[in-house]
Amino acid sequence: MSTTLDLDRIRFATANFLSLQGLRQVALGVMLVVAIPVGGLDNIWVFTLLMVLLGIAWWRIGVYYEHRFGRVAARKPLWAWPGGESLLKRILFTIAVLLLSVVAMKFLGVTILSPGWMLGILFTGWTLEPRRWYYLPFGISFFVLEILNRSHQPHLMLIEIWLMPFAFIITGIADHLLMVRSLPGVSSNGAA
Amino acid sequence: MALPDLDHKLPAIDRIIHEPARLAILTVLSACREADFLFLQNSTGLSKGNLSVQLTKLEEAGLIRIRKEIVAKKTRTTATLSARGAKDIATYWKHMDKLRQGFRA
Repeated sequence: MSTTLDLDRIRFATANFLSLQGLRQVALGVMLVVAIPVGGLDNIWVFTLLMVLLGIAWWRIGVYYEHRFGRVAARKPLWAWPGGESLLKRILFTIAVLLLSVVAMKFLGVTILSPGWMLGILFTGWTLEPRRWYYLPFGISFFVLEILNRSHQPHLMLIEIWLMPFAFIITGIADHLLMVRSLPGVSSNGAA
Repeated sequence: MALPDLDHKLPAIDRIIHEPARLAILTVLSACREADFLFLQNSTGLSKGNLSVQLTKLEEAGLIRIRKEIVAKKTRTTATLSARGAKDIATYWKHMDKLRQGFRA
């Protein structure tokens, strides 16, 4: 055991063990990279096949995490609304999102129920979790692209479509590395 | 110069909890509902032998509960913070905060 332990970091890694299993996000990003060129998002059969493969990948990744890192029963569910531990932060974030969405819809003509806007909310929300600042650039990018792309210009749509998988892949890798670095027994044995 | 008499101001520190290895274990368990042996080992950096010893001490002190089950022919050891453990660790951190404030004053 190292002479000094960062208890705050250990607490963080434990409380967020499920959401820091970033390889699941990487698998989602890879699935999208494969799906986009073959029209998988438009073809129901290709989409179904890819979802089945994604499900198998997620199961396998879960097994890897359990065998390599161990098992934790979290207090916070994986689908918890972003904002970290603080209820006040979550409430403020929700209000900010609603206000921004109303302003964007009324004054800028943005379609707030679009995948891009939803991803902007999701990625920005994850920034509120401690140490996960790397979600912010992607969150902002999704919002900006949705605002710029009110008239559905093909080149902007293409950028947005390709931003999605790489956002998942990069943040997924960052989450995984954050967990590895936060667990002393793992980081001292080298990268998992 | 005489040192200030702090004895009557210092809160009692729970020595069971205060030991670094046990404090790390309790920190992990207070952040989740339960954790298995492998996760405790990875999160604390303790060796298997040392972790076993510390878990036993914490269980004997009534601060944690240990459950052993056979899964795929292997024994899985899972630890949970007991109600007393949750209360004692919260009290411990209150005392540590008081201690820190006492030294700052």
